[in-house]
Amino acid sequence: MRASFAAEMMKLRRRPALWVLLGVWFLLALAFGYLIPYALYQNPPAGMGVPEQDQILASIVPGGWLGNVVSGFPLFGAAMLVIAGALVVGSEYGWSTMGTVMTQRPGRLQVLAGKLAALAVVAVAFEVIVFAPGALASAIIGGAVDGPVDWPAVPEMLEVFAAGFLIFFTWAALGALLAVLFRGTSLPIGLGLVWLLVIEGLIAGFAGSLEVLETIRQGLPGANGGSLAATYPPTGVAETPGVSAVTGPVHAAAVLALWAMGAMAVSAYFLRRRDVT
Amino acid sequence: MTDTLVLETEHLTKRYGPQLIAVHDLDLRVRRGEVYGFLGPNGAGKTTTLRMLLGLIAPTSGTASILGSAPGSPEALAHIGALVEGFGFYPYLSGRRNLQVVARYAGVPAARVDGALDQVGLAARGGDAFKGYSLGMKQRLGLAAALLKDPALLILDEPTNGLDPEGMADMRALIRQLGRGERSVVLSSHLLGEVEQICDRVGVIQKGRLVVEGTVADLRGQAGLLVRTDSPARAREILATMAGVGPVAEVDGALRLTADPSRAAEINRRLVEGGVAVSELRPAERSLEEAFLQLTQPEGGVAR
Repeated sequence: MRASFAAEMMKLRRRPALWVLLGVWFLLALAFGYLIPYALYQNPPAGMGVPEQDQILASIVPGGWLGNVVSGFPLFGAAMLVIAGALVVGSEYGWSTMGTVMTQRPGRLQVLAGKLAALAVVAVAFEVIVFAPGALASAIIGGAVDGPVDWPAVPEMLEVFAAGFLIFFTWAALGALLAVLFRGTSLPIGLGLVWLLVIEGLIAGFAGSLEVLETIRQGLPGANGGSLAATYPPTGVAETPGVSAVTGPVHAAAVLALWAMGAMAVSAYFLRRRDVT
Repeated sequence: MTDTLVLETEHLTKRYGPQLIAVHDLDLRVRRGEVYGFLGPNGAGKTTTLRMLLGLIAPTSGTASILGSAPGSPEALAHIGALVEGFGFYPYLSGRRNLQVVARYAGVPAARVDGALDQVGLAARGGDAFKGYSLGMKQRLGLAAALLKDPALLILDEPTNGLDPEGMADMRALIRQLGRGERSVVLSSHLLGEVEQICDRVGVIQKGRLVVEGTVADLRGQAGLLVRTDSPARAREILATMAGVGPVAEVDGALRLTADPSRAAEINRRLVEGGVAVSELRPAERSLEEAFLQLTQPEGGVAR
């Protein structure tokens, strides 16, 4: 597995698509997490009161750093990781490199394990690329507005980082699963995004009217990612898309872990059984 | 070449649904140190067979042993280099970097990469992006990847596809060189000249079945003589009376007979004495192409 992981990392480090995704994610997180809220705080629109302004400020100073950054994970960040997961596995089919890889020494499960381990590293990279600049931005804003500079405690930082990792890795594993099932990249990316951005939203929309849908919603990866992120307030200007406490944090973490393990197990099953053509 | 088998299949079969049998009851034997030609028309089942041997495709029934291990097992793959139709590389990486990735997967030192590039004549272009490679360069890179493990068994599927004539000649020379010594090579091809030039033994596959297996000389059949006369019917009568002269067939207006070419003078004398004017008499060897066509065309098929 170590050889597969090393080979995977060698490919990923030089893969332009991954750097583009990281760049887009960084810009999105910085723009919507800090630049736009700060602009709103400095230039409040007519009708915005002082409490709302204070709420914005609370989210972009060091005290709101963790909650502000992680609030982008369940929807926008998850979309990036679905794409990354689908690319890491699905491109091997598109480029016909699956055969090349599978005729070297490692077995199929070792190859998959190497890919999933590399996706875990990718998930960490997607966290670092927004947590670090987020910290810097909140420190700068905190200093600029003479606001309180009270950083979260280290255990809380680690907890939020772990929660973010769980959200990201689950979606990356689901992207990888879709790529194994459909043996490519385009359809898995499309389906993953439709699921995350449309289907989960539709279910959430009807969940209030139908009890069965509410029950289903409590088992969905998107809703549970949102619930996990909602554990760490404040969440910014208005309600952040995808962030809503549908379930408790323990339930959410357990459901996400089940989705991640399920995705890995099903991927392993299909990758092992199917012919590589 | 030794009698030790590096590859052996028994009743290897691959079905796709109830109708299509891609490979049927295939029994192959490849010995250590030989270059084995796997010959067959397009769609005969060559690539499917090779993919089964590499563990990429699961057989429907039958067994295969490759270097004493199961196909696709890490133990077997550690000693096999393969260039199979449809294998690809990462377009955004250079040729050299692609080989480094393959070396990582294979668990071989990255130091071997430059040697492999040099061996296939790609050393100067190793730093170029793979997406800019010509088809011939891609084939060479594929061979370089197959050589990284210094394999005991090389499996090459149509390795000269896409190469220009000079490239084909270079590739064949390289394969011949690689097949010397203890290494075994399985070369799949539909190019008869290629197989004839390179291979020690040949297996001919047609519609998923192995129709014949033997040396190139075996396939061509026994040596013979070609006789052109003004009276083929009379010549046939005379030849039929001669001991040691085998079946006579008419080819392009001439007679081809199975006989030791050293008896040409005797046959000529008997024909002339019998009143048959001989305008041409020369040794005739059935080409591999003729043998192949006879074996793979429905009316000429030989059941095993």
